[in-house]
Amino acid sequence: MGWTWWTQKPAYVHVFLREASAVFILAEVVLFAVLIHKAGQDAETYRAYLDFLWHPLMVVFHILALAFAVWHSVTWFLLTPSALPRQIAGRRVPAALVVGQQFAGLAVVSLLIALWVAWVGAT
Amino acid sequence: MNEVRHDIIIIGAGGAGLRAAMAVVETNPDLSVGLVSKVYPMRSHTVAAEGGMAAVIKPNDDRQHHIYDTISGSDWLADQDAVELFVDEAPRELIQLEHWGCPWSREDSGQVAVRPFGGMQIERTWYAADKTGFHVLHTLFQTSLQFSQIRRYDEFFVTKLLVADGRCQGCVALELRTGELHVLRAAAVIVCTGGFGRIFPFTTNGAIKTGDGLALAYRAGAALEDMEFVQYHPTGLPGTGILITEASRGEGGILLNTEGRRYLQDYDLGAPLDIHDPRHPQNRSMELGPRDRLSQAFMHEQAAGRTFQGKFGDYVELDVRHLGEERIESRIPFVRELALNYAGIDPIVEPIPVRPVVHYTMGGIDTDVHGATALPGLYAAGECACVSINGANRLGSNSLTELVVFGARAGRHAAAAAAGLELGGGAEIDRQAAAERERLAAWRARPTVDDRVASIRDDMTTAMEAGAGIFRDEASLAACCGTLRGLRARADRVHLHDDSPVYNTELVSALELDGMIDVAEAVAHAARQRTESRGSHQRTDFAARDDANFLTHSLAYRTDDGPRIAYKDVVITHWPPAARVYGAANDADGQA
Amino acid sequence: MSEKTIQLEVFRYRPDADGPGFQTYDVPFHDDWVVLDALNYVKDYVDGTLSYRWSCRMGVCGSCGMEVNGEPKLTCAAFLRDYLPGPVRVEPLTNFPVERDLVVNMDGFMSKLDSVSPYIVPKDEAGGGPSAEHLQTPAQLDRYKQFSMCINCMLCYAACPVVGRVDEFIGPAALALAQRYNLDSRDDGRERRYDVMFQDEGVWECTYVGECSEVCPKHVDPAGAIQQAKLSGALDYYKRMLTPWARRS
Repeated sequence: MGWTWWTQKPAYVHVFLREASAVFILAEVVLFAVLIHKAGQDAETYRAYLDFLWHPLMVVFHILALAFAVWHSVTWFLLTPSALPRQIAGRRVPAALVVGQQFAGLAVVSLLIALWVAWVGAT
Repeated sequence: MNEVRHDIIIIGAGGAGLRAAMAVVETNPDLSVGLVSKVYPMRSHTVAAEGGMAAVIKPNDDRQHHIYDTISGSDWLADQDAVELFVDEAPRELIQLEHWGCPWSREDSGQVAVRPFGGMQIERTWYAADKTGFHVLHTLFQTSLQFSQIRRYDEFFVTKLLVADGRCQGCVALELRTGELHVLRAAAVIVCTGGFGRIFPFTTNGAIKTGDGLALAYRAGAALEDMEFVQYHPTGLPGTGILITEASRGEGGILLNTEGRRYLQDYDLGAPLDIHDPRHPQNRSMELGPRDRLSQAFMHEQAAGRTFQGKFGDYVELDVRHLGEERIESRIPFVRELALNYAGIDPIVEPIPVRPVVHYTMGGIDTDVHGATALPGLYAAGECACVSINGANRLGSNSLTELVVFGARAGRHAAAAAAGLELGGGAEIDRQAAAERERLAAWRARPTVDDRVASIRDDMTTAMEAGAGIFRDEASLAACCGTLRGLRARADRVHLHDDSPVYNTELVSALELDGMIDVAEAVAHAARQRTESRGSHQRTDFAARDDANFLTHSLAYRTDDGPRIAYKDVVITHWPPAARVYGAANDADGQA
Repeated sequence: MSEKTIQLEVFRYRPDADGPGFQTYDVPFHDDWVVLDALNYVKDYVDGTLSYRWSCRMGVCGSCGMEVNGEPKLTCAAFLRDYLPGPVRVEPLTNFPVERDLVVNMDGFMSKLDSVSPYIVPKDEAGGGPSAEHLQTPAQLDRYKQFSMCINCMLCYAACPVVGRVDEFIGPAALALAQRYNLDSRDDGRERRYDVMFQDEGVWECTYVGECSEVCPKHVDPAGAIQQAKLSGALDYYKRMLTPWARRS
C-alpha cells in the first residue's frame, strides 16, 4: 500500500480525518499558549496578537479546527461503547447509554464554559 | 517422493481427529502425530453442528436413560456394549471440553445448562447457544496448538493407505499447494474424515463431506458397516438444505402442515400439548420424536397433499414464534440468522419452511470399541466410523459426543499399540507409493472425453435420491445399483481440464468423486439386501422390522465387481429388542 | 425464453503460467443465488480450472472469503441480487499473498493465531478437581462470548489498512481471540499472552479504523476487543510500574 492508502475507502478517509484533527487541535493549543504568553507582555503586543487571531484567514482556520474537533469527538463517542468493557457489576450496559452519557457530558461542560464566559463578560 | 515418519498419522482434523491427536499426546508424550487434512482444521464440518452434545450430568438423569434412549433410537441396531461405554465416558469428555474452554451455555448458578433433544426421556443436551459444533471444533483446534508433538499437514489430500506385512503403515498424500506427493509413514493410522452426505443431492453436509476416508479404508480391505442407514433430518431449509437445528424444537418449536395441524400426532408420536402449557415440549413425544420417524411423517403428509408447495419442492412449517424474540435470540440465534439470510424469513414473525434433508450417515468403517478395524494398524473414529452406537437411526446430539469419546479411545489405543513398534515392509511401501504416483499421473494422461466430473456427480446424487432415499424398494435399489456401475466406468475415463499442480481443485473433485462412487455402491447394495424396514432404512416392499433375520450389521467388502455384503450379529447386553414407543406411553419405557 | 444472466469478472492467476488477469463469465441469475453459487456453476459447467476454497455454504466454516466488488465478503452470504445489474468482480482477499486464482496463502494468519496462545491456561488449583465442571455464570460467559464467535474467515485482515502496511501486525482476529481468553474466568494466561499482545506489532499498532468490525460476518467486533485490550494493557503497565514487587515471573 502506498501513501494514498487512506483514500481507498470512505471508511479509511473518515479515520484519516479523525487522526488529522490532531494537527488542528495542536495548532490551536500552540496559538492559545502564545496568547497566554502575550498576555504577560505589554498591552500593545497583546492587542496585535489578538488582531492576528481575528484575521479573516485565521477565523477560517479556527472554524476548521472546531469542525475537526467536533468530528473527532462525535466519531470517538460513537466508538467508545465497543472500546469499553461492556459490563458493570455483571450487567451489560447498552451502547446507547454509553454514547448518550458522553454527549450529555459534553453538553454540560460546554454549557458551564458558556455560562462562565458570559459571567466574566458581564463583570 | 518426500517421505516423512510419524508414530501416528491421523487423517481428518475435525472433532474426532483433533481429539484423537490430543489423546495420543496424553497417553504418550514421546509420540509424534501427523495430523493430515484436506482443509484447515477449523473448516472441518464439525463446525456446522448446531444443537448440542449429550451426556448425563444432571441429578434427574441416569446412565440407564441415556443408554435406553440411544438403543431404542437406533431401532435396536446399536451394539449395546459400545453404547454403555459411550454413555459412561461421555460426561468426562464433555467436562474435559469445558476445562479446555468451550463456552457452554450456563444456568444462573454457573453450572452447565442442558436442553431436551428428540428421542430423549430426560433433557441432557449440553449446548453453546446453537453453535455447539463451531465452539467445540475451535476449542479443540486452539487447544491442540499448544502440543508441539502434533505436526499438522493442512490441505493435504490423502489418496491411498499403505498396507504392508498385513498392517496399515501410512498413506500417500497430495499437497494441494504444490501438487507434490508425500509418503507419510506411521505405525498406526486413524481415519477421522467424517461422513458422506454429499453422495446425495440435498444435504446439510458441506462440500468436503465426500466420505474420502471410507473409500480409503474400503480399498485397503476394511469393511464398511451398516451403510444402508442414512439419516434425513426433518428440518432443513428447502433449496439450500441448510440445517435448522433440532434445538428449535427442543426449545418448543412445532411442525405444522397446510391445515395448521401438528400432524405428528397422526403418526404414533403422542398427543400434542398446548404450546403455552408449561409441560410443552414433552420429551420423547411429538416434535421431540426421533428424526427417522419425523422425516417419514413428512413423506406421508406429502403423499396426502398436506404439504406446502414452494419453489424448491414441498415443505411444512416450523413455528417458533411463540418463543418470543428474547428466547429466540438467546437460545437459537443462529436459526434466526440462517432463516433471515437464506430464506428471507424472520422466525420471530413468520414460520420457517422446512423439509427433510440428508444429514448424517450412520454407516461407516467397521471398528471395535477401541476404534480398531480388522486391519491391524488402521483405526477410525467419528462419523466415518461405525462402532456402532447409532444403529439404524442416530439420536440427536449423540454425534458430537461420539467424536470426542471414540476419538479419544482410538487415540489412546493407537498410541499404546504404536509405541516402540518396529516396522518392516519398506520395499513394499515403496512399491505401493510408486504405483500410486503412476495412478495419479495416468489421470493427467487421459484422452479428452465429452464428460465432466460435475455431470457424473450430478448423475450419482440423482440416482441415490431416486433409488435410496427415505423410502426404497427392490426396483428402485436395483436401478440405483445399475446406474452406479455405469457411473464407475464414466469416472474411470473422465478427463481433467486443469493441468496445474497448484491448488488443482478439479483433480481433488475427481478424486473425491472416485471414492464417492465406491461408497454409494456400498450404500445401495447394503440397502438392497436388507429386506426389512428398520429406523432410517424403510423398504416399502418389506415394511416391518425383521429381528429374526436382520438383527445384524451389514458389512460391505470391496470387490472389482462391486460390493460383497456379509453380516455380523448385533451385540445385545441388557436391552432385548422391543417396540419403539414414543409419545404418551413413553413414561413406562426405559425401565428395561 | 431467454434466461436472465449476470456477468462475473473473476481474478485468475496461475503461478506456473501467464501473469494475473481477469476472466469474465456469464452465469444464470437466480434471485436466491449467492456469489459462491455462481462460482460453483462456473467450476462445474463452464471452466473446471477455476480454483477457490469453500465448504459449508452456511457462513460458519470461514473458507469462502473473497473480495466482491472490492469489499471482503463471505461469498456464501453475498447474494447476486445485491449486485444487479452486474458485473460482479470477484478477487482474492487483499493483504494476503495469492497462491492461485481466488486461493490465498494463510501461513501468516495461522502463525499469528498460534502466537497468542489461544487456549485456556489453567489456574493452579481448579475448583472441584478434574472430574467436575468449573462454574461460570452467564454474566462471566457474557464477558467474552462475543469474542469467541470468530470463524477465522480473515475478512478483517483484508479490511484492515494496518495489516496492509505492517506485515507483522498480529491483526484483528488473533488479538480478539487473545482478549477472549484473557476475559475467560477459567483462564490464567494473561501473563503468557502479555508480550505478544503488547509488543509494538500487537494492540498498539491498531489505530482503530474499525473496518474489521464493519466487515465481520459474525459481529465479533475485533476492534472493540483490541481497544479493551489496550485499556487493560495500559492499566497493567502502570500497575507493574507502581508495584514492581508484585510482578509475577
